[in-house]
Amino acid sequence: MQSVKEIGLSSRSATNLSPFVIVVALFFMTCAAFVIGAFPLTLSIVTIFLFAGVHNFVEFRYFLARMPLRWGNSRTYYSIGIGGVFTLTIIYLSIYFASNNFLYGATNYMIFVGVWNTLFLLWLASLLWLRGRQKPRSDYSFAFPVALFVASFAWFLPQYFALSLVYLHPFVALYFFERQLRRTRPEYVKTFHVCLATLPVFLVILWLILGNSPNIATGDFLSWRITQHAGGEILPFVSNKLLVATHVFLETIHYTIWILLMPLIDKKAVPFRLKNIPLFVHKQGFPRIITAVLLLGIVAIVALWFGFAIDYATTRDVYFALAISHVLAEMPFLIKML
Amino acid sequence: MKKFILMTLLMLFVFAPSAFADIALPKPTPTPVSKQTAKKKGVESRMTVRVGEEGSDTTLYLPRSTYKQLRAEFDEADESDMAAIQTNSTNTIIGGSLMSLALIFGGVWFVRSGKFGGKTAAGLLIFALFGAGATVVFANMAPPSSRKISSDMFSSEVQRFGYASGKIRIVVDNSQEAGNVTLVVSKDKPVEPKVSATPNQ
Repeated sequence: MQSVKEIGLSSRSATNLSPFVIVVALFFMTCAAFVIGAFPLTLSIVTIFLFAGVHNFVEFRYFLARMPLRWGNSRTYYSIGIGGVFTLTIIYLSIYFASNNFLYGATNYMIFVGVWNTLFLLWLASLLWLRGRQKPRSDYSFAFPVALFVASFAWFLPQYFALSLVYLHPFVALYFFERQLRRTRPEYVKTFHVCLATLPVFLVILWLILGNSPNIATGDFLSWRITQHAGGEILPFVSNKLLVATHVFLETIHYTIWILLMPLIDKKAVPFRLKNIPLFVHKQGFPRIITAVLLLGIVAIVALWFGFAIDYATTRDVYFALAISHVLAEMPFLIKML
Repeated sequence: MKKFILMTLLMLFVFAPSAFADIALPKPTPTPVSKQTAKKKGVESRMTVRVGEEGSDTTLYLPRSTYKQLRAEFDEADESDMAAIQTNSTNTIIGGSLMSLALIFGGVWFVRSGKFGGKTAAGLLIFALFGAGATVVFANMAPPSSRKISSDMFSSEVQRFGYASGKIRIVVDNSQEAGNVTLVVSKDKPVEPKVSATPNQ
């Protein structure tokens, strides 16, 4: 005989709004937008210092829990996915760290970047196509013409393509969160959609307030690097204070989702609950390797904090170069959730 | 499979020439300029010259973005930054080829999906062919005639409009710390007077 509580849980639907959650979310976004809008440069430094490494660790822990022990029918998918992550990361780092080499004139550099962008898009299209083959009555082969079309713009307007990736990446966390909500907390999906709908409102308010604000002074290397990362030189007609504030606001949402919200809605994502990791608990798993990798992750977080404290600008540059691997690693799991 | 590859190559050769539309026309013999001016990269921009209110000062308004670009040049900005912003012909050719391939594969997927009727497919194909042809036509079209900044603006026929606008180059003159802002206008070839066809009696 089922208890009332069990019946209530089994019949939960995505139709009820939670006013408390909406109020808390709006309060948080309002505070974030206000503080970031007032001190964009400072908040950029603080948020990356505090949360960049931690969010990477939590993301990795989340993907670890979702990686099956036996790939089975998804063998090709995961091979291309993980292989692509490693290959593209190596190529990216080669371009990045060797850009002062005599081989890399300005023109050659743009060609290498264009090739990387094209490979990245074709890799995504391949994963989509493979995912479509796993699902009955699905055909995702349209991904290839779409990828080629987008790649053409990556060649026509390389700077704008790179900048679009910078601004689109924070939204990936929103997609992951939504898909996870549907699996573990479907009663909050509608509430999340309402909160999501307010995000453009906050962005518009930021733009209206900061649209005519004077540029941030970029006399030192760090300020220049932060504004350049946000697209200050690609969009010189836009206030770089607005660009930095927008970027930091979106990144703050991204960090909040990964560090705070994802472990709340998915127990498997709680970092130190190793029993939820199939690769760890299965008798044919790799418990020592998993433990070592997670400990290495913690060491990396601490090392990053030390690096930031000693030389923030250089550590920031190195971090964002290496962070491309986490951006790439999100893609196979994101597409697998389709 | 062989037919597919052959058709793909054929379509590529059909659309690829449009990429050459980006190649500039042969430049005329350059007019002599001072060596100092020739070395400057400058910043391309647009300029409007208009008649102000009576008694007002003649003023050159410089947009903030243009000023920042000039300042960057003055501070010997890294040349790779400028090259990174400008797309070169290699980028255009590869981008054009990728777009052509996207259209080809998109068309193949469209036909194989079978979700749309033959008439729709035929209509899209005709549209795509017209679009491809249009790129060749428009790519070589001369810029629209406008009130260009040249010696013509000083003729009475032009002054009645009260303004002129067109492409200019803004250069930081490093040989002068201070002095007049100089606007050097291009000189057009003089128009030969029409000869009357009335025969002498």
